[in-house]
Amino acid sequence: MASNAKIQLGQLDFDSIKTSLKAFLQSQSQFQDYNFEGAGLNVLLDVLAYNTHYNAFYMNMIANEMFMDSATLRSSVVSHAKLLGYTPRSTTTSRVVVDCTVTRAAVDTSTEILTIPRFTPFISESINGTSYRFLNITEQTVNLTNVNKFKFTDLELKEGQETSYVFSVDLATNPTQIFDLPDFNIDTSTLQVLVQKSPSNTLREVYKLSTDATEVTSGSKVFYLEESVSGKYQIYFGDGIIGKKLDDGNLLVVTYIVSNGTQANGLSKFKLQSQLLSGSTSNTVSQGKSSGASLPELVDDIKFSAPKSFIAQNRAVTKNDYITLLNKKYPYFDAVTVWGGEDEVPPIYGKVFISAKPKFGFEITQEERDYVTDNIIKPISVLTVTPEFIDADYIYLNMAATVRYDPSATNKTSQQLKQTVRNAAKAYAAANFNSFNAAFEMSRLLRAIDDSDPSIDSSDVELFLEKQLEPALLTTASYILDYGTQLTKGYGSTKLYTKPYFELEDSFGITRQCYIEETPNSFSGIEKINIINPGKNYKKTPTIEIIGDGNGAAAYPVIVNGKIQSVVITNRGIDYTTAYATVSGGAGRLGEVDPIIQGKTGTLRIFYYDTNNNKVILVSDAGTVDYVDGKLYLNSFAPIDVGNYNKTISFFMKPSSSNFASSRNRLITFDPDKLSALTIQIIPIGS
Amino acid sequence: MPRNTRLYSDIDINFTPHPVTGDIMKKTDYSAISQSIQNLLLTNHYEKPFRPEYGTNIRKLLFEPMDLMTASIINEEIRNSIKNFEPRVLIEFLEIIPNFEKNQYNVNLTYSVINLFSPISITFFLQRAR
Repeated sequence: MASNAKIQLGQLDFDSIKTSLKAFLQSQSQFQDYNFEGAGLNVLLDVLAYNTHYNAFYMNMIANEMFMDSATLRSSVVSHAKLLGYTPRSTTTSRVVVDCTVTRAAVDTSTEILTIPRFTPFISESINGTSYRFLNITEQTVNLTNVNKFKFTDLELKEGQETSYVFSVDLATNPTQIFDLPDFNIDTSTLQVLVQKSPSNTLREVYKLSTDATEVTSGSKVFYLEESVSGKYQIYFGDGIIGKKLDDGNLLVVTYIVSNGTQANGLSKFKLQSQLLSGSTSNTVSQGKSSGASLPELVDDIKFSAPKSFIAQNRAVTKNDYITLLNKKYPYFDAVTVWGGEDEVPPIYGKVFISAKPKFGFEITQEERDYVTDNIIKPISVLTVTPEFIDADYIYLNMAATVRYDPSATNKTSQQLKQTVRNAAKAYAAANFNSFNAAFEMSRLLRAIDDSDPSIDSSDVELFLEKQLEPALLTTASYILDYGTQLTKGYGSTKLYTKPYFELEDSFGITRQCYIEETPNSFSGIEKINIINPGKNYKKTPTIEIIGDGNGAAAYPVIVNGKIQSVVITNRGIDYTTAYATVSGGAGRLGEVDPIIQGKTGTLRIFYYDTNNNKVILVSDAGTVDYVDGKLYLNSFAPIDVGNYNKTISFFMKPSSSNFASSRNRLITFDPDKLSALTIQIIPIGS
Repeated sequence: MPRNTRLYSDIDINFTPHPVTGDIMKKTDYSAISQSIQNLLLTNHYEKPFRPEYGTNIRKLLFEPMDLMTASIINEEIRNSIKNFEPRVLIEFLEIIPNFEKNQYNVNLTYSVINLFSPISITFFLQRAR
């Protein structure tokens, strides 16, 4: 045999390995049948290649699972995360806050104090034919108020099934003292661990989840929580040095809620499953809709969050610390953005601003803000920095799509095609909006619509941006609506419009149903010229030249003591959208002026329709619209009432560009449940 | 080519040691090919790793009703697999005879080896075992 030959191993799949072995055998003359499938030598090559391939595969698996970046098994990723001090988020159950009033029977005068125990069940309204069971999380005791009523306020309910297990601590049979919780879908935030001395001594001590090892002493009553290899959770306790150790014979009582899945979001009607007092009645009012049910953290999310959580070191210092923290500890937010006060204009030092969109609905309740600030952020944030919640500033998209299609290229009815287009737009919106720092790009939306069905020939979308204003009724106030993008000077159908009507009194004291419209300043000339730098040493009057896309504008400066004191416009010119001015001559220097174009603004006016359906202007100057800055200024506005249940007026404006982005607390959103947010017109080609 | 040059050489798959040296025995030329054909016929499909088409389906056919039709199918299987996997061999004669009394097929196979002179004839029987 040729002893100097080398086996060339490049690829590690079976066929490559076998080919390499055959190439190796070519260098010897002793056995020549290696290349024939039936030969005994070929069988040996099979065995060898098979073995090498298997080893290579296992080595590859082992190497992959050794690093968090390449690991694919959940148990491996969880284990790597453990080294970074990160416990993946468990299933979270749907949560809602309710107020519950119990009215005792008139004859029942014995009960003066009423307690609603932990895990008192409430039944929700039915969704898709299923009612869900929500459980009260904390016990609350209230005194009787007037008229036989007990009022429980801010009860936190979580969906699911309460579950309780008792483990006995027996060091002989379970020397590792790790206790496996036998259920999947546990919401670990509901976990309560009580330790009882012995079966006869029923005194129970509460043990808390350890979140910071530096605070744990030998006597700390803490437990540790980890996800096990099977994907279930396990708890264990201190060793007497870091955390209090359990004694032989102790009993462990563990209670928690097991979620029934993610279907129980968006519910708002609840009632007590059984009355707390016999003969009593109850009324439960929800403070919002239930939200936040989510599956356990996915492998990819763990890979993303664990290193960031490690970098944050359980402290909220940088912007990303806050975002990671809120994503991990408060899964009820759909999108979170954070910015420092120093980024504000003017800067507000010592504050960090947080804005978030809840998973369900648009508003975050005060109770939620307090909870997040006090329980999640403040314990680990820098002492002198105050977190402050800022309402997300929603810009709602309203789109009118016109879709041309070829009826011969599809067997769908126009209604079905409409639904297809609607679904495509919804999917595009879900993927691109409802998050901070998002962008609206018209071309991408149109492509999504065009690609939704092969029969669609072309499409067009007219876009209006909607801002909602909830004015103080009967109180004069000024409001600024910021669209965050340049707006179009509206004429005809592209004009600003408002919905629904609001009520104002006319000069005769008659209440009118009013609306607001814009009248763009019709002049396109130069309105005024601001002096940026008066310059110096002007001996004669310098020349001001106005340069822009219009024509005809002319002005001259008035020089006092060698400086420009004012600018007199001799001709406003026409057709300007942009303009700048230069100062030259006059033997002086540094003079600088800035022309302001009239067409940058418009006037808002309030009108109503009289009994003959004629438009009557009620207030001719209700405010201004700044098209360039994208802002509406509404002055001295005091409506008597607004014509909808939530007393909110919607202002619709057309943006000047079909691509725009949001920043800070501004959030581009699209309400898929609102039909008017997306109207679709289907036109067959050739008609 | 000198007469004493071995064209084909293989190890003895029975791993019989050489009585004197203790080395593994060698099979050459006719015996190497004969061993290869036996390997081929006694290997089932899906038996060889990553090579599912290698082998013959004879084992399955032995559990079919014993008749001339099955014998004909076995004949076809053997011819195809030799044609596909044993390029050194040309089949001269192949006969499958069912022996109903002993529940076995007698196989008479005569083949010539390419580049070797005389044809070889081997006779073996196929019998199901379980």
